[in-house]
Amino acid sequence: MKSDIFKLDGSAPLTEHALDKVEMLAAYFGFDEKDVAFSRLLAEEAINAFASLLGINTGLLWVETTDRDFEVHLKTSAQLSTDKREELIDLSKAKKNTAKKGILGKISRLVDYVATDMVVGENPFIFSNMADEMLSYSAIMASPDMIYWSLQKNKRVEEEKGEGVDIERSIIEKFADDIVVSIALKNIEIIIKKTKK
Amino acid sequence: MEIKKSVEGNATVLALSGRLDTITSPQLSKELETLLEKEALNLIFDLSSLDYISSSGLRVFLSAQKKINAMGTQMKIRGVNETVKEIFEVTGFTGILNIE
Repeated sequence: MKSDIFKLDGSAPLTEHALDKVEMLAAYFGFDEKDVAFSRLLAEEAINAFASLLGINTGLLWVETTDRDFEVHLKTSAQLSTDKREELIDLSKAKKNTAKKGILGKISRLVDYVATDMVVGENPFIFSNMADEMLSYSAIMASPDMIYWSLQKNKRVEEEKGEGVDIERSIIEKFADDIVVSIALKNIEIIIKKTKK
Repeated sequence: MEIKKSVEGNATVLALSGRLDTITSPQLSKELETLLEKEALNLIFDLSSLDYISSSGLRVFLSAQKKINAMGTQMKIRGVNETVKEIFEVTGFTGILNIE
């Protein structure tokens, strides 16, 4: 099931409306009272993370559910500066520590490569090569021009916590069962998944 | 969110109810700013009726704790429910704040 799409513009009324809907849908999904609250919390922290990491407070939010999974989708569109991209990449690199080898590592390297100024429109040859290379990961890709990397919940988050770890990130990592981030040129999407126990 | 202010002995008690989140945390922040600029005081947060807290609310508590530390007074948080307690624990705030 896919919910209506809720617009976010950084204003309190739209944010509250979207979060109220997430809470309502989480209850309808069958979560208990605590997980309903945590679903709202995950949505709020995703919005906060976008704002603090990317400096973006506009976007779209919706919920998708399967029998077991409750997913909060947050999507925005932006041409990120190099610094902002680096901040986003830093986030993925921290997660990559849980899967230094294998496909997640390769995807993370691709993400690092694509998220540079020269790839975004300035050197189509490089992007073309990257797109070809990415096709080999079709099992986890929706289309050739999109990259997905799945960040499974890190059970060793506590070990990796440092003093600089962001509060939003701590909350998301703890309460989400999976975090998926996708970047397709200017399109940035984060999916936070909570699974019914 | 509703904030009720009272006095218990030598401490000022702020009882919060509802949600302390991105939307409501500026309200508490402003209340604390007004309160703490007047005088050095001991502060108790009563969260018995607080249903929910997010990172924005946690930051307000962190800021208050820093001000209280600078003033040399005491700050205490009490009446935390299970959901809110879990959020305090996950973020490591149980080691920073005095939570009963």
